[in-house]
Amino acid sequence: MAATVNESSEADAATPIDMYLAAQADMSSVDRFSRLEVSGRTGKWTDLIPLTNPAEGEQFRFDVDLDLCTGCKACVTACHSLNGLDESESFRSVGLLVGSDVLPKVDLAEPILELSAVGAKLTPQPEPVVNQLVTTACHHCVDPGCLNGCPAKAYEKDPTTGIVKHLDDACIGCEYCTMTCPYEVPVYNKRLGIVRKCDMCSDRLAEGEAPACVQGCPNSAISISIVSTAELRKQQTPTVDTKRLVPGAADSALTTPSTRYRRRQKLPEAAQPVDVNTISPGHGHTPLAVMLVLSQAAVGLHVARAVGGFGLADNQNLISAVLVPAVTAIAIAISVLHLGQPLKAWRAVLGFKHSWLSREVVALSGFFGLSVGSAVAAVQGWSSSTLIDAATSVVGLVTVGCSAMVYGVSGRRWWRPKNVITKFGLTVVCTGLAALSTVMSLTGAEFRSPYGFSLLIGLLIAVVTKLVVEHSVLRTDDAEELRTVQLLKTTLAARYNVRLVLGSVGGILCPLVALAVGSGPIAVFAAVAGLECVVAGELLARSLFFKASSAPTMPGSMR
Amino acid sequence: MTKNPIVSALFKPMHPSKELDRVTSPIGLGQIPVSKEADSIVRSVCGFCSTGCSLDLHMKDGEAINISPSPGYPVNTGSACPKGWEALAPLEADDRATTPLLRDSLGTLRPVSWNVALNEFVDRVKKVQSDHGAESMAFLSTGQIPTEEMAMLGALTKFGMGIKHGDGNTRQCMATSVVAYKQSFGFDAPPYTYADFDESDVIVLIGSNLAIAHPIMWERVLKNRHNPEIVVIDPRHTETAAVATQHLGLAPDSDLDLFYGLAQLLIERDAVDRDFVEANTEGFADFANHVKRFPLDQVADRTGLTKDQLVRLADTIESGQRVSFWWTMGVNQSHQGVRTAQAIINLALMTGNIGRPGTGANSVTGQCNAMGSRLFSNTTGLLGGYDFASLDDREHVAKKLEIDSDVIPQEPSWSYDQIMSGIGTGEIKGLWVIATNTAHSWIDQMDCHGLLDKLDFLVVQDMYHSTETAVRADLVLPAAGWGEKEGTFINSERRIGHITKARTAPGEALADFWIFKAIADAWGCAEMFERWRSPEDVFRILRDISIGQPCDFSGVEDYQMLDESGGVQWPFPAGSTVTADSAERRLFADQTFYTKNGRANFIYEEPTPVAEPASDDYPLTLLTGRGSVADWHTRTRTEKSTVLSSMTAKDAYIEMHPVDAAALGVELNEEVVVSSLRGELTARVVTTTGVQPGQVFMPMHFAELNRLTFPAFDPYSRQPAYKHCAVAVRKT
Repeated sequence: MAATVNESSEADAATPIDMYLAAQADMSSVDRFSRLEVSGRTGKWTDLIPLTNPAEGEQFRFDVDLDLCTGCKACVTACHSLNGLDESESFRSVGLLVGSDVLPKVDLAEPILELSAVGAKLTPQPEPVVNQLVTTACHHCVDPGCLNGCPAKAYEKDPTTGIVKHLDDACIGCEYCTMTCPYEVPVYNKRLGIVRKCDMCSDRLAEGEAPACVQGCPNSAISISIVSTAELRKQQTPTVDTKRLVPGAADSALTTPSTRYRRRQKLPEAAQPVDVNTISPGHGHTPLAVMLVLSQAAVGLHVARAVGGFGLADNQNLISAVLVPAVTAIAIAISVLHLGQPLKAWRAVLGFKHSWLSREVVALSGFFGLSVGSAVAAVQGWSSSTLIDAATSVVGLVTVGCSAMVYGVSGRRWWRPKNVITKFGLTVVCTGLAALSTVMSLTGAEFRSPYGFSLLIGLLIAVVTKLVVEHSVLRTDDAEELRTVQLLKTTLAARYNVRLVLGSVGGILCPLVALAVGSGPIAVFAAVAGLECVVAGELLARSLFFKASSAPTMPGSMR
Repeated sequence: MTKNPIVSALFKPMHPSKELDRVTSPIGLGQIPVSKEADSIVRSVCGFCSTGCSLDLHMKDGEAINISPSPGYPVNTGSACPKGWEALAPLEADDRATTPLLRDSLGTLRPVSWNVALNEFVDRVKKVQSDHGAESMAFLSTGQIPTEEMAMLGALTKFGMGIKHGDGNTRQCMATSVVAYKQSFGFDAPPYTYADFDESDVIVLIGSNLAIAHPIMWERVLKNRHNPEIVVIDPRHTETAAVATQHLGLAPDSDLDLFYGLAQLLIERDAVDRDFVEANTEGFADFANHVKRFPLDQVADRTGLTKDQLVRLADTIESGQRVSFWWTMGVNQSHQGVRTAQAIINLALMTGNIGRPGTGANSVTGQCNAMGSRLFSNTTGLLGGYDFASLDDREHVAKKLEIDSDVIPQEPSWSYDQIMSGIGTGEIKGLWVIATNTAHSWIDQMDCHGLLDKLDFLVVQDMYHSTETAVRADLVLPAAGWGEKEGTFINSERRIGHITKARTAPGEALADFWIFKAIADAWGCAEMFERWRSPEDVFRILRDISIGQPCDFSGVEDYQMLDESGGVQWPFPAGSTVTADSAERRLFADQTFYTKNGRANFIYEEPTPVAEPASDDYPLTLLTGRGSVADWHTRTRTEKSTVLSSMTAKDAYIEMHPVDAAALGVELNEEVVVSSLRGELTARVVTTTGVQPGQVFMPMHFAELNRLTFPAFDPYSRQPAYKHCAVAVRKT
């Protein structure tokens, strides 16, 4: 019997409200209506998944019939609920393409257009409006950006199914895959200190059960099919631009995504993501920015000392030599502590064969070790110090190169390898010269000497060049970089202006003052302030390097 | 666990993969997360919209921890929209009302005990009534609570407390269909069953964005195996129109011209089912005369459609073997909604498209228990679909309830708008709002807020203390929500479904039923409700009252039977049995209607102009509607789910044709000010040819929208005409 208030039991002194509170608390209805078996759920969606595993050279893929995706977004919630994800987490999302071209007549003979077996008539009318919902999850790429980037071997592409799996226990939480995946698929989970992503519910598929999103879609718009990877490399999906999954998405050539989007009609060229103009700054990655600038400053100082050491007094040489490993140690500590799983930091070298991040880690560690050696050699006055210094310099520059390639391979236009190498290289020069001039001034050196003059003028030229290089993006006509420009001119304009001021003060004003006075307290002040401004400016520039990066992505929705 | 941030940053779970481990459920749910492993399920009809999907609530140690849609249930067969999947999240919100809250002398709402709250309620309502007359206290209720609770509220207020005026938010959604059906069929009787979506060869959707508003009904349209013609009649090119085979983007509120013109076209080509009309209807000849005044040219001119479009639709209806017509808020929320709905009914009648599989003039309802409210809320109609004005009906109901028939008012309540304007005239001084959010949803919001502030006593009974209405209350009563209580809903196709208590309510929140019981005690009319001991007792009383009515469900034994049979559609009189064939039943297969003579009526009227046409100062027509499937009405519940919130726009936007946007010089996502004679708001522009030039669209879920809307009402249903007002848009 369900909760019933028995008003005759007035023997106890409970007031009526206590009885109602008791009735509310009574959960006997659960026993009354509970069922110990649900029939008809398992096996219900099995016609939407393949009966067999892919053959050699084939893989599973998501197969989306866009005509059947009407935007109910049940797939998003089904993924969330049936996978036990965190409160705001789902491995699927749904975006919207809008556009307004009247379409050309459909050419039904075109081979890549597949007619959908919809109940509706298959005689499409001209489409005056595009209002296309796009459900998206991991594209289980043939050449996955996440896997290629991962330094910790926390990804694997299943040799049988082609499913790209994230190995949660192997993940160190460096978040690098969130930059190398062009589809924003891996998402960092702060609580766990790792990223997580869709695995096509591979355990379900293994048991012949449909993935959660497939189960969730009322219209059977999502299914799993088998595709030849060679075919995928050859041909992309039937949208306007065959090099993109859908308008607005990244160039498919980057990773060769496997998802197929089908539609009865081509999308008009005017179709664009509804959120195309909503550009918000990216993550600042402060620890990475600090690590990069500090490690590059250390390399800069070392190389400056190694190359220009002839002009240094002994004490200047010694201080510089000791500073280099100290700064490098700080950079390494920061980079380890920024990991979601710092105790697993050692895994970061495992991906050496394919990951520039692993290579960066190895090179930076090597640089640190050698720089300690350089310092010891300098202190001890070893005769082999020149050799050690040279080796340290080479490894230091390799480190900077690896750092640059970490971002260079992301495929983002603003992070083109040439662009990043130039910027990182100039950071090395600016910070190295600024650091060296500060060491000199602190030990009482005179700047009005040929050596001091060339040092400060070199600094001035390097900083001005860096500012010019950074500024050059504002003249871009590249569509993707224009998004960066928009950010730099709006949301990030204040930061960018501060960066310009810091660079100008530290790299132009301070060196000129130091040159003018030559030595004494003012020269010391100018050199120290110059170093601080140059480093602060570089930190801000590096933060903008991350924040202003706006990569193409799958269509989003109104926010 | 330590709170030291460095330590907690270092020591994250070493084996996070465990969190995503799944097990194969031994009870047939497939693979489910280890963290959500269920020992059993209970079934419950969803508490959002009127589709009435069944959800399997995954139970662990006596509490619901997860949801998946019920396979095998005749309505949704294993699918649900995101709201259904996320139906537990709103129960866990931080802003749940967990104790009664009373506004203190400093104007702050402070927690008080239930006894203090009940005494305050009774004292202040009685004071309002003694100062200004019993009729000066009114209530506004909802289509969101179970039928048993609605009946209890209606009986308590009207028979126990002497309250005369009460209405529900169903006035904002279904009133038009109710009146249309009553006048045409003799009873508020949507004739269809969802199987009609599967059976039609022509599906005509009018003012209905079914794909977004009712995704699970839309699923059935897409799975129709008869290759149906799908006709969408809507000024907007909606998600539904995008998949239609014919989209008639008519001028807003030109529906009556369209349907009369279509009737004329069909008559001209003799596409009338003469036998059916002759045998089963009244007034066709006069109707045929009436529509002669709607020739093709004129209709094309007034609707903005081409003659080809009109002729093609007439061809489609003529050649269709099983034509079904479906309408939703685009018809109901119009200044001439009742006549428009009846114009649709007329088309179905004259072509004989009623009572057969795949046919019907079918109103798709809004809220989960709109029909429970229509039949049993005791507001416009006397409990059980009876008439307050009829002495026989009053005595019949009084006898069934074992009460004195003199306590039953002799006329229906004022409608929602009359109650609101009654506040303005000072005739209403106290208001009790139950499970609705008037301050957000009522039309012409600036006026509405002024009215609410004018009340002597405002009580809000809700799950949340944070709704736009609750924050204005003098007293907040904390209510348990769907999932925390028992009862029944009646869905769009007349299916009575059971909801099961599967969660402990937070704090001292009580099911509305127990709150009503407690108020009856405190008021001193408890003896009138001695038999109303539990929701299921009330279900039995209502079942008894329904005997002999079209909605007779006296064949339903108890909740168990509803739970086991997959819901039961009315009528289901005593002696009916649940069989495979009884799962999906439509009305009027016997061609007998509920009017006195058993014939359906052709009802029509001259179209009237909209109340506020676009003007030089306000040149755009503002259309409103559902924006996203993840939003429900005023968002009080859906915004509590992070997943649902992530699917929908947080801030207001307005859809605008690129031509209008270019004329204003605004681009996609640019912020604009939208103003009407009554108020203004800021919103971001979405340029789309989904709206026509001269028209703009805004989703109804944004709280500020109703600052703009114009308080026009259908004269018969008193339903507000949310779908039309004049606005201007300017750059910020």
